[in-house]
Amino acid sequence: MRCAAARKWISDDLDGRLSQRRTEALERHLHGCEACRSYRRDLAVIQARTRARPVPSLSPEDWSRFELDLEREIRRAPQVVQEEAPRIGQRMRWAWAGAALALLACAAVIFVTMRGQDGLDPAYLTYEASLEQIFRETRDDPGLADSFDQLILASIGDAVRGGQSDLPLDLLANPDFMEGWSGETGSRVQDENGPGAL
Amino acid sequence: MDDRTDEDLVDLARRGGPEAFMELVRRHRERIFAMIYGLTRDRSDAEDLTQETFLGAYRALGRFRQRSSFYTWVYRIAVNVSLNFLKKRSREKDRAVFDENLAPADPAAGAVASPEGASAQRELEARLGEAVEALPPLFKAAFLMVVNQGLSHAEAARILGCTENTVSWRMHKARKLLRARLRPFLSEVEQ
Repeated sequence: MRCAAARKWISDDLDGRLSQRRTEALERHLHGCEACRSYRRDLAVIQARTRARPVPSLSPEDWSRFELDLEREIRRAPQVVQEEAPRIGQRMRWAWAGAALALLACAAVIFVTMRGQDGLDPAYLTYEASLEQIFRETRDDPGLADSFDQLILASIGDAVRGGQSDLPLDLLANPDFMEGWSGETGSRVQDENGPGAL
Repeated sequence: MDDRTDEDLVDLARRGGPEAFMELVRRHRERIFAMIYGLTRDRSDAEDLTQETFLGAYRALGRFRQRSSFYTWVYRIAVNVSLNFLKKRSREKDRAVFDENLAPADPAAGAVASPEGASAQRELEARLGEAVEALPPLFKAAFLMVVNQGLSHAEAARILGCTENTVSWRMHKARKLLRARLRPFLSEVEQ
């Protein structure tokens, strides 16, 4: 530790605001530094002498005169008026609450308005809604319908062949799922997967 | 003995009761006077500044929010009044610049330093008064608040409107300056 740092700590120590860890480090430094030990001795003397300096007290007569003078001045002074504490904080709280409410109202209006538009697809389609969308798209496009059928058949075949009878989503048991199939598709499923497939 | 609290008296004084305010003055005047005297080391100046402090407090009572005690609030006013006074006085007086690097006062100089008369102890006391008086006002205020009045660094910081670290630093600098100034007399005392 350098002497400059040690002397700052000596000052803090005299005022009782040095931590235990620093006090120990300071003591280690002082153990090997006569100059800092002398510095601490000098400061302790200065402190004691400063505290011991007398403060003159005023006599009761002096205080009486002091009171009379002060009271005369006070009676001349303008009347004390208690000022209203500034209510900025309270006004600000209401302003923030109003702004938050306005923001919420705007968000709600935007949400309700945009929700009905075609441009915004709902993030999650229900099972029925997804089927409806598929039926709509395949209704007027036999090629697409056929490709879709093939895809469905292949996946059903895979599921049946793989013995995945415990599929979490039991497609085959769901009448909604087969509702959109043509009779031909149903026949093909049965042909390819056996009569128990449906 | 008046058993009303300071808060009661402040409320009464606000409603236009100078008597209530005078009771507050009687309660705190000695300590305020002692603090101001510590800074000015002049009895007459201390009396005038104590008067000015309480008069200023009465005029400002309407703005007192009671976030601190009445005493702390008045104490703060007293420190400000005293510091303003010291600044004004230091401008008026052709004061020698106090610097720790300057040569310390000659212990043999002056009437008090007479080798035959005064003891080293009294010599030190006289020089200590001069050295404290010559401290820069803010150092002096921090030093006297902590050493004489026994305030913690936190309390002094609140009154002076600075941080605890600033008070700690001012204490260190004040002590360093005092020691530089008093070193010859300190060594005499030690011997």
